[in-house]
Amino acid sequence: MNGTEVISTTLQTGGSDISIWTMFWNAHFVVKIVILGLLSASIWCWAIIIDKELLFRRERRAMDRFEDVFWSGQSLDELYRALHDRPTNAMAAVFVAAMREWKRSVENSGRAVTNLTQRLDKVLDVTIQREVERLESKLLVLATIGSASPFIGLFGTVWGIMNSFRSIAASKNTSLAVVAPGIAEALFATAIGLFAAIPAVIAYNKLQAEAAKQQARVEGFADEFSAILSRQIDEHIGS
Amino acid sequence: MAINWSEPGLPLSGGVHVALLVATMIAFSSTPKFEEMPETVAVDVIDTNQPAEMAKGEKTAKEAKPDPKPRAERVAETNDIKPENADAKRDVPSPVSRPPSTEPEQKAQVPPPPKPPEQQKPEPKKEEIKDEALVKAEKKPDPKPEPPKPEPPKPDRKPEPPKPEPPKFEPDKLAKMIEQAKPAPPKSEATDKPFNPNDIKKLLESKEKPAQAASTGQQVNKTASLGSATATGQKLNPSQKDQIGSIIKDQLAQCWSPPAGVSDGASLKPIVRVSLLPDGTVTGSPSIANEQSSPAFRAMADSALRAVRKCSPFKIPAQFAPFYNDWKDWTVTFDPKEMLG
Repeated sequence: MNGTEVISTTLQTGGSDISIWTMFWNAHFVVKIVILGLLSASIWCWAIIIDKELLFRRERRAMDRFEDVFWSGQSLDELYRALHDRPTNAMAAVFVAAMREWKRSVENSGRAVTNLTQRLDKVLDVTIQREVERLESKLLVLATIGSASPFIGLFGTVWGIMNSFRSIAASKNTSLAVVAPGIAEALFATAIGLFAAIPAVIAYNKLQAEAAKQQARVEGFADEFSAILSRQIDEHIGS
Repeated sequence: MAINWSEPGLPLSGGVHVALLVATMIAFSSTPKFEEMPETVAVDVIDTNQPAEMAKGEKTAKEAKPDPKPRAERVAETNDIKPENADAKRDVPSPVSRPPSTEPEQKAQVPPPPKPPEQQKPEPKKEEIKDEALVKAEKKPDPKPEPPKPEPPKPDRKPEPPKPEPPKFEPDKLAKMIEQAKPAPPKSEATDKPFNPNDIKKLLESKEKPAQAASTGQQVNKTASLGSATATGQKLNPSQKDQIGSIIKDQLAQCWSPPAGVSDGASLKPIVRVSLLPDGTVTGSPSIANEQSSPAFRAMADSALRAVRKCSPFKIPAQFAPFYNDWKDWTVTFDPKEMLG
């Protein structure tokens, strides 16, 4: 960009029309890329927030329902038959995985009962791991957006201010009317960065806590269920 | 693209963002302009009698102008808001004209010898003086291009004070005429000096200010009007009063020889009232303000009056000329302790 171009852009932006759109349109293309990137980051981050919030709400309700059914004294075999093809939540998935392992071991004429407890623990651990991973997936994206987008916005700001100082140097005019549009467009990048970062950070903390709570709940259920199964195994061996 | 209702995040978020953007653009479509702040105006607080002092006129002027302005010989380079500054007007050629011999210190600041460029226009100037003298002696010759006027107050360099063809003088215009006459002396020297064309540039470049800085104002106002009837002259401020008092006392101390052998000298302090002319000459007869009948006081008072007459004319520095009204009647206390130390 040579001097005359800088001057012409400056004079153009120096006009009275300072809407958001003209501000964006007159920005340097690096600043444009930064703004567009941050905008899409914001869209993505809100998509994740909405999805996760809905997912956690669904999980919580499903787990409540499952626990009610589980502790209502219903036969575990019946429950397994109802759930085994499509577990609806993390707890059900853990239950189905453990039941499947149990059934395989016991129904083969009871030969493989010796190390059944260890195998069950392994299966429970793996299932919990998988479910927690499903719950926590994409939360790292939120963390990344939250920590990085202020810097990206700052980069756009620095670039824009650098540009407007070059405009000053080229037009040899330091009046605020020449400087203001460039600085406004530069600060716009920071604003977008913060706009993306603030909800991301807040949502990350909230969703992380939620995921940890559900993980603890699933682990607690797994321990209880493991205790029930090991009692069954002992009774089975005894009988 | 079918929307997956179990994960509606992306379309929902995108839609909300688009809506937000549109709302922002509508909300910020017209940027509110700043209210234009009125420029702050610097205000000088002046004393109420300052305008009256500034508009003091001259007795010799022809008519009273409806709006009297302070006299200005040339346009000030900077817009001086306080023209009443007495020091700036030190060399105002007011009606009070000083005998040249009473300004020894002014001689020291005399500018270098007259310059050829200025000497090249004596003829038109002279003629104009003759023409204008009857009408307005004050008017300056037009062909002069430069503000620094060749008015060196150096009467001692004048070889022959009366010009070759002196214009008609009128006594009351003498002061102004003297000012006009001053450019004349260089003429005689110019003829003596060989004209060196190579010097022109150098001479043009030398921009030393003339020793006599003419009074300056926002605009040239060469004719002082009669002033307004309500105006007063410029007043001496207290420190200037002290100054002029000590100047007069110093001169008197040199002229005074108190009678020898007067005892009780401390209590004998004759106070003399002196009337002074603008050039410092004592006019009328000085009188004793605190008349006492004792012979010792009489002797003291007589010596004081003698001293006053001996010292006349007093050398009053030109800077006090504008304040003549303030020192034309002066009272001196002849305190032997103070004056003779």
